[in-house]
Amino acid sequence: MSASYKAVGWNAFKKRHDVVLILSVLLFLAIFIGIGLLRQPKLTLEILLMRAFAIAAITLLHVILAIGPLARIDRRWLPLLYNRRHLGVTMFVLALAHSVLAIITYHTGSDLHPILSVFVSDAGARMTAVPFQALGFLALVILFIMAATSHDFWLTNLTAPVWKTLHMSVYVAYVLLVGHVAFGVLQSETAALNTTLMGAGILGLTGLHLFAAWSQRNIDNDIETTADDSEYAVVCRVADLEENVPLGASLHGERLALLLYEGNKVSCVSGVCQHQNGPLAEGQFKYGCLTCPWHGYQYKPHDGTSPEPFTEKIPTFDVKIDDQDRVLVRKHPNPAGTPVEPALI
Amino acid sequence: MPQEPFFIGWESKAPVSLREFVRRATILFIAFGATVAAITSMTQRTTGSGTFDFGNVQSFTGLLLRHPVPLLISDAPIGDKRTFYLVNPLKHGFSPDVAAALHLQKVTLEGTLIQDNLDAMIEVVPDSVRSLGDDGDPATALPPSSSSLGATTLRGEIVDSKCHLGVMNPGRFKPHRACAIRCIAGGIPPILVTQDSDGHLAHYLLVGPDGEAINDQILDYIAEPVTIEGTLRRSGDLNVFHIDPASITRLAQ
Ligand code: HEM
Repeated sequence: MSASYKAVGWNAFKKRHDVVLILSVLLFLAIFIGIGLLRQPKLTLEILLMRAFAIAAITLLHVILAIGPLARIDRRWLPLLYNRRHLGVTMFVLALAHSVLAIITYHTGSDLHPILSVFVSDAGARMTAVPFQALGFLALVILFIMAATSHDFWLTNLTAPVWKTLHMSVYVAYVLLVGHVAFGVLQSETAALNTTLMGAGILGLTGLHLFAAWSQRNIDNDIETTADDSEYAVVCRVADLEENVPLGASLHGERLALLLYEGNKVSCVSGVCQHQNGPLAEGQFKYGCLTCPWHGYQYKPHDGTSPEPFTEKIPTFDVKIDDQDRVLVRKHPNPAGTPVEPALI
Repeated sequence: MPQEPFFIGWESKAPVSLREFVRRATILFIAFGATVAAITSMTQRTTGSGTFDFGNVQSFTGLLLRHPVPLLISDAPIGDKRTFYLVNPLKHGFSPDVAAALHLQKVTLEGTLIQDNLDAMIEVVPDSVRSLGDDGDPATALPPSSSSLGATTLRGEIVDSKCHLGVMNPGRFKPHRACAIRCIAGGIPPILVTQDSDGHLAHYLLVGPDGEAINDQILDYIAEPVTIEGTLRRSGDLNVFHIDPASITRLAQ
């Protein structure tokens, strides 16, 4: 985690991650271009490169989109989520190289502005004249905005909810790209295998996302409001709490994380990490703090603040334990960073 | 109590069991990528057979014709070809004004050769065309011209001759559609490419009923399967197909 956005550190894990990433991309390009040159020496080099960059980019995009649901299904994938933004930026660079080559090769040198040409040259109102390159262009714009705002600087300045929403537009880009491929290259490269691959990609990603959602359907048990005490809601019984492992719940749609720690203390904070809306209830109590599973951001359970020198803070909730050993949480959160006396068991 | 291994990105060492998992996951992704690269590269089918002698500018001498499109009938055959389409650099056709001014004159020009096994073309260096003064005798300079082969219907794909003859391999099909439209709108001669059942290609230069350019009227039919009715003629080394653009029928909707 960072004291300010400038302090994103480079550690050994990140460096190794990026070396492996770059070598993998180079391996991909070498295989594609190598086989291409051997099989079809007359293929125009720009077109071969254009295809190599494109297919590398869309393959990487599938990997990127698969990591999220995989990490929700099995948390051991989480380390790959940690540096997913590096994959995103790499993918954008590949997509940009593809787009620039396509615009230079197919759209420059006429009386029309090349960018305008992307949109109007082959456009018509029928299936065979869908301007597939315009779809690619729009996808590129989205990927650009995401790559440009990938740094924590933007995360801090846009605030996590806005940033997260912005970055969900990767799914819009994905849909545009499916159209780009389906109405473009699949109209000429009619080998069944190509269509099958694209179809498998779409089905695989959809399946993973649905399965992840299904496997997490009960993650936050929604709490019924008890009649006897309308200011507080019963979240669980003391016996349901496992030491150092937060319990997630949601109160009228607001996620919270309840934690038993240091033997007998129970505290409750918001379940949403300030950094990227990560699921704090899926984290662990480490180094005296509730630690987010996504990027290791930390919060002290009794007041929701990050340890010095960090400045992040999240809302806290008042907690009490009644005579039936039920854990009750006040329905209205305290402002972020408000200290709350832990309930004792 | 035992907790499941927990990864914190800023810690210098992740738990051993997690490291092993991440290593395997990475290898899995790389193997997946390598397979995709190999499959997609091996299934690429569309290519072309032409060549573009990029960077090799040569001199050509011959008779310049403005009809049916700007052509050079070379004095000496190059390979088995004497008839050369003339075009300008990038997506621009040869200037009709220059062609009109030099029609039927002996000229010399500088340019780059573009050819496949059927037809040839010269990308002319701008302003390099010089008249050699003596008007050629069309009777001797022109190969047996414009013999009519009769009315017929052909099925194929309209492409721009420049890319298809070798500037781009492949210079056909949907990915190339926008480029072909820009080229033909820019005055590059349109040709119909047909393919017989053995995969052999044939080219037909497309012009109007009276030999006039129809580039702007066919833009919406480029790079799609079409049938066209017209009258076939042979002009020099070229098949010239005189068509009424209204007779073009799109085969796929
Ligand atoms: C300005 C934006 C873009 C333009 C003008 C463009 C243009 C093209 C063209 C002309 C092709 C056909 C290439 C061929 O001749 O085979 C193509 C294919 C493709 N494009 Fe794009 N593209 C753009 C953006 C993107 C982006 C952002 C992606 C993201 C990954 C992408 C992915 C692909 C893929 C996967 C193919 C199929 C490659 C193949 O199988 O040959 N494109 N694009």
